[in-house]
Amino acid sequence: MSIEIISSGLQTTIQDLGREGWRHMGVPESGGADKHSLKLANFLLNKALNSPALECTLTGPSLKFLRSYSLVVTGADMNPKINNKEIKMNKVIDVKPNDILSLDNCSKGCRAYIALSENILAEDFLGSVSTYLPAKLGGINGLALTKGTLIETKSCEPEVFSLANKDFKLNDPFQNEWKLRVIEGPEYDFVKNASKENIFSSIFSVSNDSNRMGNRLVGEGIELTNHDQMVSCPMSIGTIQCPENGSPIILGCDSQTLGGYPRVLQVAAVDLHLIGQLRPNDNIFFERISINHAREEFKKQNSLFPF
Amino acid sequence: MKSINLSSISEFSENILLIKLNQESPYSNNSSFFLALSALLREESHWIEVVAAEESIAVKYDDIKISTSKAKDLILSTIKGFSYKEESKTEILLHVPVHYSDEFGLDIEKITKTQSVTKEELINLHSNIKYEVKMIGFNPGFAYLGDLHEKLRIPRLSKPRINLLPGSVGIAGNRTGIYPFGGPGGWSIIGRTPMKLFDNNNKNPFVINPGMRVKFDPINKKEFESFNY
Repeated sequence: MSIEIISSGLQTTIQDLGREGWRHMGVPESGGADKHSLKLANFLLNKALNSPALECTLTGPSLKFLRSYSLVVTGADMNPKINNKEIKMNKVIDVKPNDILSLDNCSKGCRAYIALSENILAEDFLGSVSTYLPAKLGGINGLALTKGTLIETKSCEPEVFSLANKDFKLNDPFQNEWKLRVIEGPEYDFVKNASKENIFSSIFSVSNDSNRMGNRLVGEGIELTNHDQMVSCPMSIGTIQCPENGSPIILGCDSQTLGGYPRVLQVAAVDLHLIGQLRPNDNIFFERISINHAREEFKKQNSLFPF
Repeated sequence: MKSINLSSISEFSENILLIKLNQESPYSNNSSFFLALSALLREESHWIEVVAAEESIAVKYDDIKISTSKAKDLILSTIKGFSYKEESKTEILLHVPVHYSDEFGLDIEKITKTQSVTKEELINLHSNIKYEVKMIGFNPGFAYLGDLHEKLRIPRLSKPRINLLPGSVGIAGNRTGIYPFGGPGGWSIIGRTPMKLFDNNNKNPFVINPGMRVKFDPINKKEFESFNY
């Protein structure tokens, strides 16, 4: 046994980059809700980018190490401390046996990632150890970590990143107001013309009723034209569904694979990782871009970061 | 063979294409057609995900390796070479034991009232049909089975339940289905199967798959408890 959970935090789960290729059997990708911060953590430790890390939500956990490790904390700043002494985010730190890492609350962003120099051991399901809470899969017994849980780790070969010394912007500055770039979804034309203008000029806020499956938004309702009852359609991470009540839902990494509400907008790939950082009461506004522009922005982002 | 009458391959996102058929196409709302075409596409190595719904297919590709126009061409050529024959479908029939009881069937009492059926009639109407797998999705391994007998068609619950037991059998609209892992669900629950619908030791861990038919066999409490699978 290598790490003991002293306190669990609000919802701490083991996540890697998720599982691909099983959506046709109803299995969502899962993995880190903010895959960008998860990759950054592994990158800083010279680890394979898909290595599992601990995803912490709003309030982080306290961990006691039973061995020596290097570790890094990325994502939302939960004021991490080792033995009550503050440490920096996005910086590799060494810990020794009996050291305690404690995370607190965050005020900007929603999720932090703790990655370790060794590999976290967890249950594999369809090629990933990511915890999927709705069906209790992956992770440790498919559950969020609880006080007293012991996590095992195993040493691993470091990856060599050729761009390791490149100077790059570490992260988007986290905030409480987010611009999400979106493209029109397949049922965009179900939105009434007057409402189409409102979507891009009004501000939505993230409801408390939000989790890894989806973020419900509150704001000026989106009015839909009368349309035939939709049959279930394929959905994707970042699809913005609009039920009849006019309150849109941004689908997250654990979201259902099929759904029956109009897909009015789609978050551009370049901003998908931001969905994992939306916290209740944050404000959101949508900027519409063309699909070609969205592809260019994504390429630009990929060239900025060495992962 | 009938003409497929492809309507469009449209862009759902930067790296997902949507395949739909014209309303006039004989297959436009034939879920078996979409399941068969999606299975064929899944055999090709260039797709990351191929997801069939009842009237469309989403195909995810790596847009760094394949351009969108190339991806569209590849799909078109697969559709061109696809010959769908309804008649030649070979189907496996899976028998699923279900204990229909008030203990597990949380909504049996409500349904007998709103649909004016007795509990016995409900069980007969539900268990006498060899259902076709129409679609798989929503959550892991959840198969939409149909068509449900007209007398049992009721809307989804206005407020979904948070924590169903694994194996719960539900109905909604013209569909029925089993929640392999339990969890949240908005269908009315009429019973529960003791059968494990998922085995992590198999390469494909899911027991219910496209191309199957499913028949429910009523069992009593004793059989439910002693079931070993």
